[in-house]
Amino acid sequence: MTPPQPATKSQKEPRVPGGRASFLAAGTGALLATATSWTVFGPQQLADVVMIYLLGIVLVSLRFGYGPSLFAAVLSVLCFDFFFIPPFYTFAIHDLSHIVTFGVMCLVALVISGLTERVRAQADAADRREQRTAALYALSRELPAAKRIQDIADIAARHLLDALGLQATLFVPNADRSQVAALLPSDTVPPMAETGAEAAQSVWESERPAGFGTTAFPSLLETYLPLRASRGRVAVLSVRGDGGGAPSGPESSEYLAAFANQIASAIERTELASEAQVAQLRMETEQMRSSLLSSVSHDLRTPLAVVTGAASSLLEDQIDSGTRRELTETILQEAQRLNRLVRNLLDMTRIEAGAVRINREWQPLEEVTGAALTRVEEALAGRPVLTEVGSDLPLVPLDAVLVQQLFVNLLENAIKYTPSESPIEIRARTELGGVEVVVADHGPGIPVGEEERVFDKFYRASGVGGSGVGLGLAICKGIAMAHSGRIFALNRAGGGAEFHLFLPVEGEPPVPEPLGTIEET
Amino acid sequence: MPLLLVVEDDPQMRKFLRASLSSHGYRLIEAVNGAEGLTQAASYNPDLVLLDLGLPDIDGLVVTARLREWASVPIIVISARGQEDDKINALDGGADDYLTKPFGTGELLARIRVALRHSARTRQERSEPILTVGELSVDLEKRTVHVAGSEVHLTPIEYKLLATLLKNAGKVLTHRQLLKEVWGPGYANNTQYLRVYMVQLRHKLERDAARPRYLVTEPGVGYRLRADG
Repeated sequence: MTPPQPATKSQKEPRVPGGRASFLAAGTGALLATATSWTVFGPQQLADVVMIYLLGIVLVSLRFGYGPSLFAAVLSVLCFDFFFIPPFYTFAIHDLSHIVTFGVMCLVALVISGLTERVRAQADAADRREQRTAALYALSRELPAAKRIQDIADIAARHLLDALGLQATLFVPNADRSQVAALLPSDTVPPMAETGAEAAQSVWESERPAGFGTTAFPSLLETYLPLRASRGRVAVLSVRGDGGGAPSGPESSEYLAAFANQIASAIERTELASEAQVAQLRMETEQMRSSLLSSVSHDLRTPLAVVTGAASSLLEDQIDSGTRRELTETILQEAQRLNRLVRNLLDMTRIEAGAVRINREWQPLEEVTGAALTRVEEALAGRPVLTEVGSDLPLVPLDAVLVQQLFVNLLENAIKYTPSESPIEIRARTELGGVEVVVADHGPGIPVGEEERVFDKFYRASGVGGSGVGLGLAICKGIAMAHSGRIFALNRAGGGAEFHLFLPVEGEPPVPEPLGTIEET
Repeated sequence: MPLLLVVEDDPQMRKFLRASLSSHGYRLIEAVNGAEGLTQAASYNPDLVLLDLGLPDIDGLVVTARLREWASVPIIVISARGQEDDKINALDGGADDYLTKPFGTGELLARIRVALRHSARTRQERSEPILTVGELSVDLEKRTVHVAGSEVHLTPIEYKLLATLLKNAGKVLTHRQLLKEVWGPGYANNTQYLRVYMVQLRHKLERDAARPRYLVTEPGVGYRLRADG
């Protein structure tokens, strides 16, 4: 019995049964036994001589297998007859009892060869099993790390080639799972026959193997196997050995099945993971939409209701001038509030849709914070503002319109949530790799544990009133991110909140061309 | 009584402008689209045009350009926020100022006053030797600058920059306009230089350069010397 010899790179040097060299070695063994017996024992101690010959045959059969050991046995008998059995140096036999000795010698050699051969085969099989188990283990260790189905295809192809000597291709289903297409290993592009795709499709549909060694598409050189996991079919695997198709033999097909199972569950795992991701995303979108709807309907309708009410009251005749003025002011304030809300909603939509084009130019920070302060001047209403934005700061590459909006949002926040006389501070300093601007207030601060969440869309710090959809800080974060910067909030030791904006400064501002002389006019 | 031409397609907006402007002593003619606006401007020769940039027929920028082919009437464009490029294009294309929707009557009237004053001055082809805005005063003949009574020394570029802004007090000037005016037509893109000079100028003239009262930035557009500061 000659077991199939897997083309395994990593396998140990196999014991070569047959071959001219092994027969030569077998002959040498027999002659060596003859020489040893001759020198040590001579023709008088026949029993010992026989033992030496048997030893030689055992050694030959251990090393070279069945054929050579039989050859060694026959040669040994001939040598034994020639050198040790009188009449010496002929093959003639006078004593018939010696024929029995020859027969026994041959029989013993036969039995020993058979036994050692079997031991050898078992050891070989155990070796192979061990290697395949190791290969399976290696596969099972590598597959969980695969994030994409392409990675799985690559890993599967590599391991099937290493462990079973098979060229493997994975066929994966499309989005609606009606058709499969080959997912070729990313580093190789083997030619793919049209009929191969057809066979894979039929396997996908029937969930029965096809191709080489089966009744469907028997002319193909590959065997197509359906891959199933706990939730049903996941893909189709095609394999092709040296002689074509999947390896025959129960052991090998068992291994192939084990590989296929591993690959199938890995594919299913990535599918489940991506489904979970989609579900998560959908849930978040849903949550966002509903919170947007409730915020928007509440925050837009409240000022609208006030405007409608106040304006319709103004239309009535019997209103004194004081009330008239009050109502008019209310309308103005609510309209401004609406304007802020709509502005924030639009800004957020634009940032989220990626519609904001960053127009970065080297700017003095002082100018940007100054412009923001000018814009909120009215809302500040004389509130003290301490600025430490030195003109010695480096120029920063930024989009003036967006970053100004960022500061406006931070300032509006501070104005809204802190007592009207409490000071607001703006400080800027150079940091490693950029500049940091801090906008600090002396208000109640941010509820502990909510420092990060205040930047979430539609999130409003707990326990604070006021109007707003909870977008101002989310917009700040979006603008900071668009500048590859970051923004975070802290509570200061003495009370109040602190917003830190870091903007990276990379490279140098371009040196402008020398300026022309100014004509004195 | 100055005559204003309003080119605006939204009826409610026209209603608001009509109400607030006529109650402040302006005469008004109205146009609902660009083509009508151009015809009205030609037949009535108004003192100022209020032009909405988002017109149904012709782009406001095109209307500005056509008007400028033959008329020097001040144009104030009205646009929505987030159209900084449109504002710059309108200003560089000959508009005198802009208003961002929504705006209050106060802001509207201030812009109109500035534009009318400015056009009156250019028509007279002569300007007073001493320009004063708040605590700032510049003597154009002696080339001296005083802040709250004490003289401030400026470099020639700083002086020219300030003088340009002051001659256009209350009006927004784009980066390009300022660079062309102060440095010459070859330097229209050196905005970064302009910014550095503006910072220097603020430190010399403003009480708190980080919260300017006079030399205010119009982000993404340019600078304005605030006349009512």
